[in-house]
Amino acid sequence: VLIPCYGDGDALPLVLEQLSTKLQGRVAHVFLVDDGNAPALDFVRLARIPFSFSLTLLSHGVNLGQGAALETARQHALATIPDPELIVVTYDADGQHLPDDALALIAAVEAGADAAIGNRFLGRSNPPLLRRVLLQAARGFEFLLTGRLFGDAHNGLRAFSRKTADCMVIAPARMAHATGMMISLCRMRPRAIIVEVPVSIPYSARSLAKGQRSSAAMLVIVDLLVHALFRPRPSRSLGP
Amino acid sequence: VSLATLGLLTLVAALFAYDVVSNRGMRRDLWLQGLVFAAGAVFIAMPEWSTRIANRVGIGRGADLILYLATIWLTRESLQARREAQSTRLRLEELTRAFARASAQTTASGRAQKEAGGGPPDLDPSAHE
Repeated sequence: VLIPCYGDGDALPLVLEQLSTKLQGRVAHVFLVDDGNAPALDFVRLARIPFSFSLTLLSHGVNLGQGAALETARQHALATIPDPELIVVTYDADGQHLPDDALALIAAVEAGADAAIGNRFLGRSNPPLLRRVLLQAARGFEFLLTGRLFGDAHNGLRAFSRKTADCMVIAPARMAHATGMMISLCRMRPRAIIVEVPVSIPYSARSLAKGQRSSAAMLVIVDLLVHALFRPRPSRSLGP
Repeated sequence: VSLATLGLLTLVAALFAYDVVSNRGMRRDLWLQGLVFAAGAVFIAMPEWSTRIANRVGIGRGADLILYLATIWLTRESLQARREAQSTRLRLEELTRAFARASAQTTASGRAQKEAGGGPPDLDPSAHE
């Protein structure tokens, strides 16, 4: 389970505890990325909590954005867990996802899907009207870029098979990664079986205040354009 | 000398003076900037000179010639700056990621799982991408 965390340190222990309860009995690993939090996430404190999973903390010295944090976690998970049956799940740190939904996505990948993505419109979610309109526009935009029409766009809850996670790249660094990773997935594995699973996102004043602002939609488009236009040729990776 | 000419010349001189003072005259590119600003000042003071040059290359007005050159140059500079900013950002991302992965911390429960045959192995640089 890949969890990027920036500004959600207060909600994190509860999120991890809920996840821990639901993942009991499974061999699970959480790759938590501290994306430049100040103060930094306290690994010693987190390590004291008896989670059912192993927890790896990766700390970004500076804030890079959710996409970059997920990419760090993806690279590290794939490099440290050689299991070919590995299922990679992306999960938000702010508590807006339900662990049961994550299990449903995992079950979909175990059943043979290459990727399972959460669809809040099929579940019990209550997005405000403006968010609904923007998400519908984002669906159309994603269709133009990927050739596939998904029921939801920019849902942080997703699961990928090892084969799929191996060949995709999570970019660009900031919020546009949600569309960026679907473009990467559809380009690298055009025949991938992608299923949509109903998920519930309970919107609250807190989650709306902390989440992506509706006005950020334009920034996402600009970010994608800049990424596509000005991306340099791949250089030698500095990663270990 | 018109008021506009005087205002523009003052602006050019003030900007250059500010750049010299703020960079403490240490940057070599100030010479290039000074040269371009001086040429600009000449064309502001003597607009008929740029028109004469423009006519020789088949362009009607001197202002058009300057505008074309400035547009081409500024567009190129803008794209180049964007390219370099993006490249620097990606390098920062790679560097930050490399540090994060090299200093990753894993919990004891993870080690316990690993001993049972399920957890991630110890960080082994040769095992990484």
